Amino acid sequence: MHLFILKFIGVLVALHAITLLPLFDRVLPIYLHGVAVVAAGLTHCFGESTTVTGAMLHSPTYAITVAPSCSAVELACYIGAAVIAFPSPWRAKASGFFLGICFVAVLNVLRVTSLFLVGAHARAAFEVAHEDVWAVLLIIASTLFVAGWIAWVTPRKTPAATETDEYAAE
Amino acid sequence: MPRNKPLLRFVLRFVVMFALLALPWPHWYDAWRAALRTIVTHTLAGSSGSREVSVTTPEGTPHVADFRLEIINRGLMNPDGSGPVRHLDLNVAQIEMRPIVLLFALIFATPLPWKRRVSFFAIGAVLLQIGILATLSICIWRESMELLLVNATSTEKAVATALQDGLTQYFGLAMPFVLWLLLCGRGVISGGWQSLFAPADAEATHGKLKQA
Repeated sequence: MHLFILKFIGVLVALHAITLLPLFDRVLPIYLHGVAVVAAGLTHCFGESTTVTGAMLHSPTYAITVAPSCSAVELACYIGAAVIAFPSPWRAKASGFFLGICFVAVLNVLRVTSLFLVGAHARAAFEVAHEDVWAVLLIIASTLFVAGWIAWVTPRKTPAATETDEYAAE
Repeated sequence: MPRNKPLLRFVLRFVVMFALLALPWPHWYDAWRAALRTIVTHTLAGSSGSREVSVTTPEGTPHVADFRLEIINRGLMNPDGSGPVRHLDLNVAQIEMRPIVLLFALIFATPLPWKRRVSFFAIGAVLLQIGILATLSICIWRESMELLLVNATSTEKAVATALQDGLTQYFGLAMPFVLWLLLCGRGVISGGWQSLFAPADAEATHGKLKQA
């Protein structure tokens, strides 16, 4: 257990260090632009005429910018650290890491899309959606991803072990 | 019993508890803000040498920052009270409420005997609070460099900045997870979710079955 926690913290520090590299500063705007483009595409499904400039989504009535702090990179690092540190085969780690990054990216696109729609149609609710609702949803989603992945890679127990009533002591 | 049932119960409990407690309901959030203010006022605020740290409330952006640490170097202040001031603008939900609520939801969603849940949460909350205060201390230390209260080279400043950024970004998410694993998660690593969710007497039964 302690080894897992030490590994988790070590990998988290290493992944954070990667985000401090100059190369990351060059890649991040490309990623943010990609998020903005996909989110703009999704807003079209809701009848918005959104265009993208850099990392900014704008329509005739509303505009938001996908800031670097809204990249959800820290969430990807957290998931990546948990997946890499947890004792499992390297193939499972690699697939978990890749799926985790994809999961965060998809979640972030949905967040940007929903925030744009909230801002465009209910501007007063934007701050609550941005700072409170989505912050809570992201924590829940990342925790559930890690929990689900651990459950997926953990070997099945013997029937004798699974017969015990795990809620008996409550 | 299907393998996923304990996990599903854990997930449902966790989601409901965390979603309900982590949102800033009016009086609930005010209580957290008052608690953090009291704790920080009694631990980190005050004068130490030339440094003076005080707690205030920033104006204008209640959702982004609703808690301010103001740091001054009295040696640099003019007689009229003007001079360089550093502000650390923080969000109470991000720095205090959500990490503790996350730890609460993780521990209380884990099917352990109630006494153990309560004691684990009490221990975890104290450790988490110490971690939060340590994080704020590092932020104050970093800002003190800008006011010449701490002599630091450019390398030391860069390291302190990275440390401050890392802690403020990851602490609230990673520390409750680590504490939960430390307190409740022995079985996650050694025996999977089933043994995590098995109470102490069920684990003993499992051990006897395995020996037989």
